[in-house]
Amino acid sequence: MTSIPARVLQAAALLALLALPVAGGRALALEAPRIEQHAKQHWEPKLQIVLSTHLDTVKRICPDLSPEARRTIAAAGKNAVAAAARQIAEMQFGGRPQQPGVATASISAAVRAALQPFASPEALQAYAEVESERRGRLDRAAQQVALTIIDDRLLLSATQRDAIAADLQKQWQPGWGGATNTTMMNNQLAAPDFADKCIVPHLDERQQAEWKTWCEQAGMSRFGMQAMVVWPGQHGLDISGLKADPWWAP
Amino acid sequence: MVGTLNSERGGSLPCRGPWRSGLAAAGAALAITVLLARCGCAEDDWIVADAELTALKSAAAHMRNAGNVQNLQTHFDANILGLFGPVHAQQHIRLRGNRVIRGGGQVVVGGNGAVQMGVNGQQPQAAPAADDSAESPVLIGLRKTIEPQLTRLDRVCDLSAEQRRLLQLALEADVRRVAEDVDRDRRKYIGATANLQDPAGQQKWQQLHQDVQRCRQVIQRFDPGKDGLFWKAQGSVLTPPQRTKADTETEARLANRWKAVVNVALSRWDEVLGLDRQQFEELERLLLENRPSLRMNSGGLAGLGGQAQHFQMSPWLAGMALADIGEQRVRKVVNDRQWTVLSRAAQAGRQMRQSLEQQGLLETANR
Repeated sequence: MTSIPARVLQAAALLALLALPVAGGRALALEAPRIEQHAKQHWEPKLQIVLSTHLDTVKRICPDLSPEARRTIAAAGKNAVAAAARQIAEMQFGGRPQQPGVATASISAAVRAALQPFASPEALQAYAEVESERRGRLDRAAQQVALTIIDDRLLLSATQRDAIAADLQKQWQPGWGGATNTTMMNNQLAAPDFADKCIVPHLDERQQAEWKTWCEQAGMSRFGMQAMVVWPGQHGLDISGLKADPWWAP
Repeated sequence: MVGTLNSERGGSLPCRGPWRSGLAAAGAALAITVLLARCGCAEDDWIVADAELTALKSAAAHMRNAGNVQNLQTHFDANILGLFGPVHAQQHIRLRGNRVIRGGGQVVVGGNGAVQMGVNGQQPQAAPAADDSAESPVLIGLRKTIEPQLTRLDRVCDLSAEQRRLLQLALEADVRRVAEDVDRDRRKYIGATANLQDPAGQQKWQQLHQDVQRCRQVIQRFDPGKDGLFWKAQGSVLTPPQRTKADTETEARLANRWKAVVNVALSRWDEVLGLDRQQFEELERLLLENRPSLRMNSGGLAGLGGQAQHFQMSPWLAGMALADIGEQRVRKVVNDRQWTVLSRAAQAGRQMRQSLEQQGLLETANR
């Protein structure tokens, strides 16, 4: 019987993770048929909705696209959906961990690339702006959620709220958008410790002590949680029976 | 150990091909772990030995064969004390692979084969209330989750010592009243068990769940910012300027909360709707103007994590607000495809209203 402190186990888990990509490759090969099935049945329908949204945006920006252009763009999108679905399924079966957002972003990139030969620079720019605004809105929502849960726990003053909100906005990093996912850990809300530098300078002594305890017990990044992952399909909407727009299959 | 990799199913995989380098790294990690462990081990931090684990598994199998006997107090406490955050909660860890890691306290194998683990040295069984002089864990938990409201009021209004004392007394009276209501049911289950293979046991089990549901609602609906002595005392204890400050703070927090809920819902819906900037801003404005009567400080929500429910329920809260805004105004903003989806969200939100009220996320219609 070996006596091992919890913090050492955490360190070991981290070190063992370094071995995953190699060992994971073998496991993925063994699981290939299940991954394929899961990608097709579970993720492709969800990602098809993501593609429809991108195509809808293109249609609004470029309503005069030729039938050939539409077919080409739709086909590129479909291929990207299949690839992204496979990538996310592999991740679920133990492949290299990454944000599912990276996979879904590849759908947008594929649509943009396919659109390029058929659209004006202004249209391409407009499409890029819409995409960027969409990401920005997710980030803004995540900032508001982070601020609200910090306020609930640490009892911020109005001045502190304003200062932390400003710092979150200023120092926000790509990939933090998943913080709209509020996750429980150790029977409490996970602390958004990834934004530690935006928060700690504005806390008083009591709040700093509380923040430290909270992060130790349930810090999102401290425990390497997947809490910040936004999976496709987390919209809570009933999309049954939604049909693909026939405009894209002329 | 080094040279084989224990699989989730308890077997071992030979160390061949691409596994080799992965296992080398994993082996190195293990070696480092053991070395570090030798330097800084603690008595209450250890891995359960395989022999002990086998005994635990046999105990679980035995319990299953002897009948499905459930400890009702444990179930009651898991459902009620869990509302109050980590200090009072029990963490239930299921067996994974062939190892269980425990961080102190006693490992117990439940009748369903789950291993329950105490947190930070606490026992996995909830604190018994055999000693009448001891405070009930419900009272302690409720007090711990509700007291920050007084702290916030103090920070906003800069209370005098006398004001703080009076409000503290009022809050304590409220907390004791609610805790006693819950404890009346809890006392029925102290030391009680039920065999679920026996009709009488099934009846007890059903009663337990009814009581748990009632008690959760009692806690979730208790809002010292709206009910009871604490609320009434504020009227006479606070000066008018303090009252204004407190109201301003409450309004600011409500507005922030609703803004975050709306933005979470809209940014998630965007995956399906594909809103442009103008549509998003217009929908956001409509939703912000139609804020439902969110509850911020009810007993269930005050727990360390309960507040997240507003965000988890954001599609339904926003859908409910959409229903209140009405089809005519929403349709002006979105296209047919978007409306098809949003009309369903509004319908779902409307249907969820009662459930959201019961969960303590919204004021009830007659409050």
